[in-house]
Amino acid sequence: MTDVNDQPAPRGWMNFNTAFGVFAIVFGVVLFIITPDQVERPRLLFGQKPSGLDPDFFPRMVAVFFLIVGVWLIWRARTLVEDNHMAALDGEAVMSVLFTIGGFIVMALLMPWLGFVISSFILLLVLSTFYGNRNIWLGLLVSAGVPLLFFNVLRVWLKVVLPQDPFFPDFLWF
Amino acid sequence: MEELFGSLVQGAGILFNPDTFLLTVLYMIGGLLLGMFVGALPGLTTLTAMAILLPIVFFLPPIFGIPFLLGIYKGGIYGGSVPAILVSMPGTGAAVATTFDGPALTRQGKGRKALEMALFSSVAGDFTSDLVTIFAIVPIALIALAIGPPELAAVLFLSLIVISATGSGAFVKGLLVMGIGLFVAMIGQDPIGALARFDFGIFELRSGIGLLPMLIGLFALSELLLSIEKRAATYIKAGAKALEGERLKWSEFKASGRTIARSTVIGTSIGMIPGVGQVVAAFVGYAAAKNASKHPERYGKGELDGVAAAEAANNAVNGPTLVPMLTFGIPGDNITAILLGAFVAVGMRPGPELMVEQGPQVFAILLAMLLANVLFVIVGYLTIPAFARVVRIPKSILMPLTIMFAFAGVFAVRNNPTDLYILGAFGVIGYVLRKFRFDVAPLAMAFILGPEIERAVGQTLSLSRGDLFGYIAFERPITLVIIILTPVIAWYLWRRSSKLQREASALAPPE
Repeated sequence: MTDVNDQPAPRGWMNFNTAFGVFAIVFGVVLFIITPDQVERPRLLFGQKPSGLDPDFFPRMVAVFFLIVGVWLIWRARTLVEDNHMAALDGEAVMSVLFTIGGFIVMALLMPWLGFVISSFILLLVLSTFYGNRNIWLGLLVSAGVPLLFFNVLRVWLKVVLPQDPFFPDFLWF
Repeated sequence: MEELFGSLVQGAGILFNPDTFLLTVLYMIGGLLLGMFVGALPGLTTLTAMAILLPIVFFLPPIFGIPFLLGIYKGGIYGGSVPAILVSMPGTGAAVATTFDGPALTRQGKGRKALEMALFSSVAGDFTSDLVTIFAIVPIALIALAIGPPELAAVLFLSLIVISATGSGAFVKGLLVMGIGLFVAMIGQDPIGALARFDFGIFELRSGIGLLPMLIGLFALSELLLSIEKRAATYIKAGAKALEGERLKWSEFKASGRTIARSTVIGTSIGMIPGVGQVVAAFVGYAAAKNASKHPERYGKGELDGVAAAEAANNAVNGPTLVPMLTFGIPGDNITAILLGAFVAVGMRPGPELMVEQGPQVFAILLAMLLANVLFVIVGYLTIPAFARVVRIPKSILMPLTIMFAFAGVFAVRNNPTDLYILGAFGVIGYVLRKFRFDVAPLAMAFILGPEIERAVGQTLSLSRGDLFGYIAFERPITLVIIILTPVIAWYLWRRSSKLQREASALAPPE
């Protein structure tokens, strides 16, 4: 089967698709082996299982599926020539992406502790400045105003409460 | 059949209930405006908007929440054409074909004319395809009602294979991503015996991976990471000046009637093939219009017909993609995967039983789609000048705001801090997969359909009493036919989708 991205390739050519094929095989083998340990055993009712189904059946089917697809992908990687967009990233792009992922982690860590408004303020101010906003007043206004407004809109309109900050607990902003 | 007709009448009653009708209309207008706003912003897609705003639906009754989301869908697809026409930068993938003629028209001082042509042809394509959807859903729902667990398992398996085959990129890579989706769906509890599995000793994983953080991370955050690669400080210099010039005349719209009709048929047909989507429809519609034209040399140099062809085709995809989702519970693309999440969230489980259990609600929503098109003409026409200015908003402010909304939405639904980590993780997974040329749609589909397949396979095994082959061969012949036809259907649709994608990439400008 040829796909849209098929091009002639030299025999034995290796690419990132080959690596993903190997990953799929390894993952399939590991999944097959760990399945009995990772699936809870059904309790016996009057000495019999509540259903005649083996709980390992479906996970092991998926494991075998990974094995087959892995072998197929390695085979297809010989003729499936695609650009590795990850390798083509320049320094600025890597920095931007890593910084943003850092923003995800910080937001996930801070939100339950500092509350939605304060953690969002930090996220918005830092990221907008990093992305190139040099209008500090606009940055401050958006970083403080939007989370505050959104927090209250959710609270008043949709009756949804996001994490409250520890400094002003039970304080209704408007 | 009579029951379904009765449901249609009851559905009209639900939609036009004087107590709720105004609110439904307001939610739809809100959705249309938000969709147009986000669609008009290069770097943010309709999918991003729907994923980010999905949590709002969780707190609304179905008759408000689903039309709100459908408004975002319809508005977003059109919104993408605004920067495509004004500054040659498509707001969404579906609007790439609009950049062939739109900017040339703007340079000739016909920006407003082009935007109005895009609006009216979008609405014409969308409205017609919605009508087809309403008529098609009844017979398909009747077929869906006749199936049991073995047939359901076979149909769900077929749909997963088809989604992997017709997505962007290589078939085998789609299958690998599908496997990842099936694995992720297994984390938590098995759907038959509620046995804990693959939690790796982490207590928080015992309840499984949430649909919402998975969808928002995979589609919205990964999209954001892709557009952030080139930082986000840029403004796009466009504005009211671009909108100078005369308005679209009725004679001009009428002259494009044949093109709009042809593109509507193309878009509706493509919408019925899972996984192909608006981008391909727009390109195929454009190519067909050019081929049929007496003046093909005018295409690409500012031909109003070119804008109409692309826009009618990409919007005509919207309706038919809902048919398999509502009747079998099979989402055909990323957007319908999000819509499926929304239906589940409001207590409507798409699948064979949906039309029987909640037929009036379904028809109310389908009729709301038609109403949304009427609102779309009015809202779109009045707000064209405003949305022409949206392209000037700095992305350096918008991108962080999108991240904030994603985190807030995910936390609001379950109040579970673990969901925030899952959200971020799926954002990174989606980004990495897309950089390595994997289509992420099969992952989402397999995650959604995995438990359904497992349940149906389990029930089939129980019903077979140890003789699976004999049971399927002699008692469930339809299942056997579906299983035998699966590779044939997958092969046919794969070939058709590959051909369409090849034609689209031949027309598309180089990256």
